[in-house]
Amino acid sequence: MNKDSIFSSLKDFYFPIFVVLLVLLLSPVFLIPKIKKIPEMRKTIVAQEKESNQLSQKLSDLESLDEAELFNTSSLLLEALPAQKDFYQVLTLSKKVFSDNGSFLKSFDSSPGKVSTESAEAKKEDSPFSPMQLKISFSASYDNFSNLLISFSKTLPIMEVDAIDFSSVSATSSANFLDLEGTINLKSYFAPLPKTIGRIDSPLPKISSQGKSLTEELETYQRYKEETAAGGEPMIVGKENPFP
Amino acid sequence: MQVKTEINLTGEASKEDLLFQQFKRKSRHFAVFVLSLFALASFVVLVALFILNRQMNANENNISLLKTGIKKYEKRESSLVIIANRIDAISSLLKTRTSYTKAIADLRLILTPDFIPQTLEIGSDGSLKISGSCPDSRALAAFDKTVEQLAQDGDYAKVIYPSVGRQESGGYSVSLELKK
Repeated sequence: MNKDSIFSSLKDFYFPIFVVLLVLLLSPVFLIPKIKKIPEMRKTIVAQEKESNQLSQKLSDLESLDEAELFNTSSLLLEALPAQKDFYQVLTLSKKVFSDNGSFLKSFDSSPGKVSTESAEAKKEDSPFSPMQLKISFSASYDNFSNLLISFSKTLPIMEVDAIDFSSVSATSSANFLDLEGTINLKSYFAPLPKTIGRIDSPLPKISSQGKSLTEELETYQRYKEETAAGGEPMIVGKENPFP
Repeated sequence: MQVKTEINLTGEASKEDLLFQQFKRKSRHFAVFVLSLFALASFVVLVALFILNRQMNANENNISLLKTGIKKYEKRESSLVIIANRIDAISSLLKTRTSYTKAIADLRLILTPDFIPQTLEIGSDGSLKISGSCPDSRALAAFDKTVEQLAQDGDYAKVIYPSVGRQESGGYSVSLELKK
């Protein structure tokens, strides 16, 4: 077989050789990367579907919530545990509780600290709450004092009688009419608001049945709201209408 | 002499040529098959990618629509987050809050009409320290009966009389500790 005949024989195999080379070259460059992409895309789709389900669940949950009820509940809970220290409110509330229970608030002593900043900035301790302490000197009959303690435990904002120190206990005609004098240490609490409402795809916080019963219990607590100015004639602003 | 019966119509060279032609044809068929297979695989993969891509885009649109919908209710969500935060905080606060209700109720039992208290201390854990006097032994017995009753109830870990004495006037001085 001469050189020409070998060359002409090879010529007949150009097509198969070209095809095999083409497939061998394109497979790793084109086909295999594309095939590898399929499971990745499927994974992404599964994750998207999961996220979509969570979001649609969250949306339907949000749609089913009653905005007015949420507002009332959050107002109640913020009244129970305010975000800001309000020394004046604590003091007026204490005075009101004392007078409502026929007890006499003789004097008070407190170190409110920072009151204009959010309580979160004021505290650096382990406790999540920022208590403000008020030492009150009092005099009361036993029954009134007993009612006073009950009132403080059933009042909003939440307060705690931390310590009681009786300086004088005197009995009148009967031991049931004891006259008590002393000091009570009153703690009122504040806690910062959550800094963020969380990621948009994070699920909504669930309110447990215990949380609901706690809210119902707090609704029964005494709420001392600052008395608004007595309503009289509406104030006329600007020029009075000369042609009524 | 035997006569040769087989007649060879083609020569050795043309037989090789025939085999070569067959091989050439088979290799072409194989090349066409490989190419077709590659084309088919590429087509299937591209179609799959197209479908998956479309699904991904649809999901992406759906997610962004849902996020827009959720943003509309941002106020409700923030209220709910505040509620959950406050419920947790208030629950833990109420769990640890000192309660004097029990101490006050017990004190009411102890302070019988015949007992004249002089000092009174209520600890933050609800423990009680009382000192006072009883005018006679009958009053002291009544006082002790009430204290025993409280001790039996098991609400106090220790019930201690640090001192009981008789006064010149005939009365009895008593000091009592009820420890939690």
